[in-house]
Amino acid sequence: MNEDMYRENILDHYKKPHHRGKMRGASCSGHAINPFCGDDITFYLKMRGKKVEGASFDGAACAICTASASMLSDEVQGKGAEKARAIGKERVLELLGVSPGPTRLKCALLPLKAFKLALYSHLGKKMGEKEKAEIGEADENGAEEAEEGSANGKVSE
Amino acid sequence: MRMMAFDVEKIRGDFPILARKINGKPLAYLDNAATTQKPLAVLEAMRDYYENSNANAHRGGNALAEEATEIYENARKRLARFIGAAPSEIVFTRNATEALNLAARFCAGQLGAKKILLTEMEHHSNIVNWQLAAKSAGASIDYVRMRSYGKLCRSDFEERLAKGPDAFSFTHASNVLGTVNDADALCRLARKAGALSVVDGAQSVPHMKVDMHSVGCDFFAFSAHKMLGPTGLGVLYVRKGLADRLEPIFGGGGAIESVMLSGTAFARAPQKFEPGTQDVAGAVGLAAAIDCLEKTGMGAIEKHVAALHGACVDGLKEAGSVEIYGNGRKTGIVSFNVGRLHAHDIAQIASDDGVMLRAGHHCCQPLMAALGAPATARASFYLYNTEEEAQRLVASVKRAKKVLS
Repeated sequence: MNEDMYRENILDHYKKPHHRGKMRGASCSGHAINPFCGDDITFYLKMRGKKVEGASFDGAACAICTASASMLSDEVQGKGAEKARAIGKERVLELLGVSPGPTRLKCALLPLKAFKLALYSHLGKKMGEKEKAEIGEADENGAEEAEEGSANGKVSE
Repeated sequence: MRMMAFDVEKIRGDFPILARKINGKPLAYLDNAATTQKPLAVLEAMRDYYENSNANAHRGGNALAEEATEIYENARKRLARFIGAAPSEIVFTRNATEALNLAARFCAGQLGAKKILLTEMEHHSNIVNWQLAAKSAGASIDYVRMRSYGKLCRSDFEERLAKGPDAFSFTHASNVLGTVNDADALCRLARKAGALSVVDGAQSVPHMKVDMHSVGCDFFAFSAHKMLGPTGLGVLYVRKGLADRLEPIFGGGGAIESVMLSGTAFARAPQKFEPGTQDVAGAVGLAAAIDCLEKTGMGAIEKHVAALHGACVDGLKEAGSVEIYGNGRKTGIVSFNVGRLHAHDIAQIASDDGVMLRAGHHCCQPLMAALGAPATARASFYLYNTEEEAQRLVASVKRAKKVLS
């Protein structure tokens, strides 16, 4: 299960993450933490109308989480809000190319949670139950935690 | 130098799980501060109880129930002897957490504690219990600060104690750092200041000789599963004078003298604190675990564990850019970080090598905040671990450094 967790593409993104750093003039941000291991990710988005013009992330996280955030920041650039919103767990795991166990799955999906909190706070919409469950799926109280987390999404004026 | 009597290979032979492989590698179990493995003697004692003597202790006058009662009470006596307490001072609970919750409720409830003093070093199970008890009793909580190198700050403790807390609770040994607090002295000072004392001994009792009378506390909590015993059984020591005075928090069968519709006369301690059917097999397992520990000798275990701790620390230092927190010599805990690597990655790579560590905040977020580290990797040793296993951990750390940087 774990032997190929630290494969080349993950290590590349971990060692040289793309779009790392706080974004100046971001339209919105989302913050998510994994209390189990202390992973802490903030996702920043620059929106132009309904399009994601730029994305960056910051925080302290393990290799899986950092790589996932880096890949996701690539993935969402230039996407329309609806397309970006449709990115889910499957796509993130596809990008990573691994299928982590339940513990590391939380690490892998944390950036997605931060990203979605940012996007939804910008759209001023509420996340659907299914989507909430998906980003917090590995948590015992997935839906509730996601809801709690949504308070952390911020829209910059 | 190893003592003649300490034959680690022979000890390992009593633990079938240690022969297991994980990811094709021999298991090196270095997560003993989380839970320990169980020797055959414990498993056999529990099986023997169920196979031959199982009945409901303290219920009914049949011969088998009497036998089960005797077995249960003998286990209590065995444990009482181990920690220098009277059997009537031993209350069995589900785990150390439940024991600490009971102690907090006794203090903030019947004993009327309005000002509670804790420390930053506590496990969440000795913070959240107090926060809940304080909330319902309208009590306040203050915390003794910790030095960044992982010791309680003595002057800070004295200052806060001078404010007159009604109860003081602290961990005997830190589950993150292995730091051992001087329980005897802390309880003496608390008593002098007129405060009740509650000790979390979950990490100390498995590793050193602890005597209730020399500690001199009012309550002391620990659990069976961290000292070779089964999961599902904890212990709350309640000092005799208090045990007689306190009313039970949970009521039910077996804990009563007589029940009338108008009220209940409770049984004597400790039965009054143990309503419902008890975990007799668990108590039997704990007694067998104590036999195993004493057969090896608590002093010999402490020495062996300290040697492994030393070998591990030396190896990690030699590996370079390793930060080690606290001084867990006595309880065999090595909490560390490697450069900027995340503790989770260290634990994952070690796990791939068959070496079981724990990574994270170890249910001690205030302590981690004081250390300034969101997470650490933790190795924790016990009597069946070997120096080779400590070296394997060091090798895994070196591999993690190579893979990740």
